[in-house]
Amino acid sequence: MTPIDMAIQAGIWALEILAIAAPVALSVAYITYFERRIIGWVQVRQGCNRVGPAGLLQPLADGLKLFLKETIIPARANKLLFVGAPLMSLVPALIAFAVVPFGETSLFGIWDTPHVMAISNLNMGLLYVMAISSLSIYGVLMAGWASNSKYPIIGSIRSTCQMISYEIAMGFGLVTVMMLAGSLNLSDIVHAQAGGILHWYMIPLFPMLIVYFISGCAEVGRTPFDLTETEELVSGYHTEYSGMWFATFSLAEYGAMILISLMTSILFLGGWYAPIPALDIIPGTVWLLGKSAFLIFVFIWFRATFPRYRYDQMMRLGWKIFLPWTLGWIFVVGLFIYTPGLDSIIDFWLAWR
Amino acid sequence: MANVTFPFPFPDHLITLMPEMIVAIMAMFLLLFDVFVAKGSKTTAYLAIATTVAAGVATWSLQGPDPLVAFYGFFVFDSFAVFSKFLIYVATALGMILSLEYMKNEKHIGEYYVLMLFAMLGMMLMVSSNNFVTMYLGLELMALCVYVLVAYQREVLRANEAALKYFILGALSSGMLLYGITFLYGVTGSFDFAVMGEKLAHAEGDATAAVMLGMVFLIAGLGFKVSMAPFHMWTPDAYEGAPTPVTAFMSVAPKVAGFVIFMRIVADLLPALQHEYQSILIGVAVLTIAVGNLAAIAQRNIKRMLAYSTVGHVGFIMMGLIAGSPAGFSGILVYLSIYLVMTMGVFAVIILMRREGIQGELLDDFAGLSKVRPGYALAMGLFMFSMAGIPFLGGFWAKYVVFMAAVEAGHLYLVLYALLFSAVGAFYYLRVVKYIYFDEERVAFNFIESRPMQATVFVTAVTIVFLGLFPDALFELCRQALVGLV
Amino acid sequence: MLETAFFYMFGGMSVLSGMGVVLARNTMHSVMFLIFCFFNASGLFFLLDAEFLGIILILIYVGAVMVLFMFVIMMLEVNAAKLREGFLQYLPLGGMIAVVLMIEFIAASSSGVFAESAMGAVTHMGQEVNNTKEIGQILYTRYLLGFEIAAIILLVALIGAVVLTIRERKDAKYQNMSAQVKVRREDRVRKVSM
Repeated sequence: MTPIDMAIQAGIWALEILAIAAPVALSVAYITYFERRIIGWVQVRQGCNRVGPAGLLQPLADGLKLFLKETIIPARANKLLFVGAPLMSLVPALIAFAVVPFGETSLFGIWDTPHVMAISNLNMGLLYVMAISSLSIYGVLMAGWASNSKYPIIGSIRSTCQMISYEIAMGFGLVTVMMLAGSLNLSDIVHAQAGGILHWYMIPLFPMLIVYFISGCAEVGRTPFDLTETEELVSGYHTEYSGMWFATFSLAEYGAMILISLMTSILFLGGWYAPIPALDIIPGTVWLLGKSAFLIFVFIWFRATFPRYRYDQMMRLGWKIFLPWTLGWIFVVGLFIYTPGLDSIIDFWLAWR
Repeated sequence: MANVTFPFPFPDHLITLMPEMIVAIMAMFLLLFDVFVAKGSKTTAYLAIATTVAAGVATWSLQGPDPLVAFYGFFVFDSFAVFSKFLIYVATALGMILSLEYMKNEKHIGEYYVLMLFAMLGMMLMVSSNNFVTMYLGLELMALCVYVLVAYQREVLRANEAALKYFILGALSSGMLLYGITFLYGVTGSFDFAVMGEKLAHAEGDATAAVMLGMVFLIAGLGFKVSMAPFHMWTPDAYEGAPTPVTAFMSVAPKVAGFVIFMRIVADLLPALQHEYQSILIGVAVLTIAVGNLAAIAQRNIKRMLAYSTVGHVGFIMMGLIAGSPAGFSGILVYLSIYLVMTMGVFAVIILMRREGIQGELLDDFAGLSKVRPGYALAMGLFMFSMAGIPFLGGFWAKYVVFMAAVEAGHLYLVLYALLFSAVGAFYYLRVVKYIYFDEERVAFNFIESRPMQATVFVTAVTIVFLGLFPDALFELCRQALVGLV
Repeated sequence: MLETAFFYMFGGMSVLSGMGVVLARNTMHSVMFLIFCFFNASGLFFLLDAEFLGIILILIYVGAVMVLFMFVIMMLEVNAAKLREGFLQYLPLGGMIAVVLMIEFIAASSSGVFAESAMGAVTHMGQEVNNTKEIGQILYTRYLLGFEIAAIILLVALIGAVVLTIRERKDAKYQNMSAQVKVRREDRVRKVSM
């Protein structure tokens, strides 16, 4: 490989990264807008409608405001970790997008075979996403500890417990997907669901879809699982944060929310495939983003609808309900796959047979 | 359609693991079962004891002239494993019997027996392993259970301290063991003892440093587990802090498993390095014998005293390893069997003396035992004489065979040294006898009345006398157990 | 060439961060160094085409184990000065052992076994080799026994953790979910004639 080739390759990678990171950041801004509008609509009020037509410039104004505000670092805080914590929660949220396949394209017929639109079509994609998203705990934990203040530390401890608990249920839920798809590669998992809505994994794995999505909700810390930032904790681990550092946390939170929605669409809702094969003339990316947009709407809908869980209730849901459920479902799926006679039922979804 | 093929012929191989499977399944069953039994019920305990018996029956029914191998050679079932498994069954069953009364006031007693069964499972796997993978996993399974068992009485401060010390040092020693294994693996590219031994025999000159380093770490790691001296520091604290039945259990069963694996390693892995490991072991044995026997003199607490006495016994057992001959190995088995019986008997008496508030643990507490309970006093006296190695009790023959093997192998000075310290050791054993027979009662005695435990004391005492008079059967049994190993 | 450069980067970083773990004064910084060390180790796995192990290392150690470490350290007030109190007292013995070990390590690692010439030439496996599958296949056949024992070890760890920490508090209030769900209107609401 000559240096020029390497430079070109590096340039392509940089463009690919930019092509994903910039839209994510932009959509985060507008998800906050839609969140306020939708919640307003649910609660029969207006939502933000002052800045720009129908309030569309509101996110930009908010961003500007946060950017101009002073970042206060408490005097007794551990400065290095206090400043590092928001980055530590943002970076995992962004680099997890590296393996997400956004669709398949042959670039208007230039390539012979369709290529998967992902920065890296990693064989371990699913595990990669799990591993990377588990890292976001550190940002929260460090923020709480480095602030050297009581409420943040309580908030971060709660949040860590919550994340760890629901990660387990999430991981086990994904095992059933791996069992059916026979692969950890995200694009292979989508390919295994080709052929219309009946092939989607939400049919055989419906309980896992529910578990995964709700666990995702808890993982991100959205209502009804937003115990980390409740009023009694004065907004939890980011009590002491202000300005851009505070915004970084919400960027990470919304980024993770987008990721969970994308992953749910890819793993359970057929990824970039249309519900009816005839509709596949519409580009796959549109389908994928559409499904994710709907799931993001569900997130917001949850927030407008459900009251917050109490801490023990949340732990109970994670450990005593989701975990046995997922384990049971793994057992059931395994039973179906390996029992002669029963396996003909599940063969329909088994890509690797 | 389903084209599932099992990677190995299903029943043939799994049948070899029948005892292990019985124990594992019963342990998991008891874990659930215990939730439904009434508090204070001993059903779980009796079922756990029955499980050890069932495992014994299964082992007995499986044994044959040829060694069985399962799981791609990761599990062996030879006569050596059978013999050591029986020692482990007996130790575990006796440990459970000793716990019946002692632990009955604990909350959540079910898990206690479950953990004991799992510890037994770990040791069973250890003695059946001929490679580092199974050995290490078995060792960790056993160790993890014993850590928890030591800390079982959570509200007792010294139990916590003991468990913490034991755990930290145990974890350190596991790390050392693993580190040693990685070096040996790096040189040989295998985990199997026999294959590694073959490779080491043909290892070229420049591999020696790595092999030596691996071996040193291996011996240090295993030395921790069987409490060889400089790695014995955890022993007195762990013995003192643990509930007494656990002390009894852990002073016997893990030592059996540890020495069995030591013998397998010495026989299969290290024959090419006989000179090197012998010189290391001689140094360690000299230290172990001295530390064990000298430090025991200063102890006022009988559990601590027995801990140091264990260290001393370990030193004597190591003489068999140093001999490295079939006679030495069978001597180790003889020693372990007799040591098992003596130790269990002693701890049974100690537990029977547990009183409200005061545990019969200080040496003073034994004062005047002969006037109140001559039976117990006699048994205790017999055990102490036997541990000291007074002729025509079991303990004498145990020392005799090991020392003879060492003399035959040409380690006369070491044996003389060991004899000297065994005389020193006789002092503190006989001191207990002095308290029992010649001192006046100071505190009123108050005994637990428990038939199974009294039976244990009786049976162990009779066995010690019997083995002292007719040791030949045991010698023969141990010699036959070694067929196939050396 | 690039691979060698990455190897030295990951290797060097993991050694440096390993030293950081021991030398950092702030325990929290030590933990961060340890996490960094794990990342580099996982990078080394990636260089060896063992991406499954690399990811699992991050998922298990960084994602779960170290979080608990951090938790414990946050809860404890570790006083570094107090920890160092006995340092000089134990230095001679500890230093001696360390020097002896150091010499042994150098001797062992410079002996021929680990020389470059003694290692088999390793070529990278093609894209079609899925090392998750390979690991799965060997784990569930040849190493099945070890795998099963490891499962039992984990079960024991669970039991042990519960046994050592469970305590029944009299003053704690518990919610009985099924009773709440089963409740009927008649049990709670009473019609009072006014």
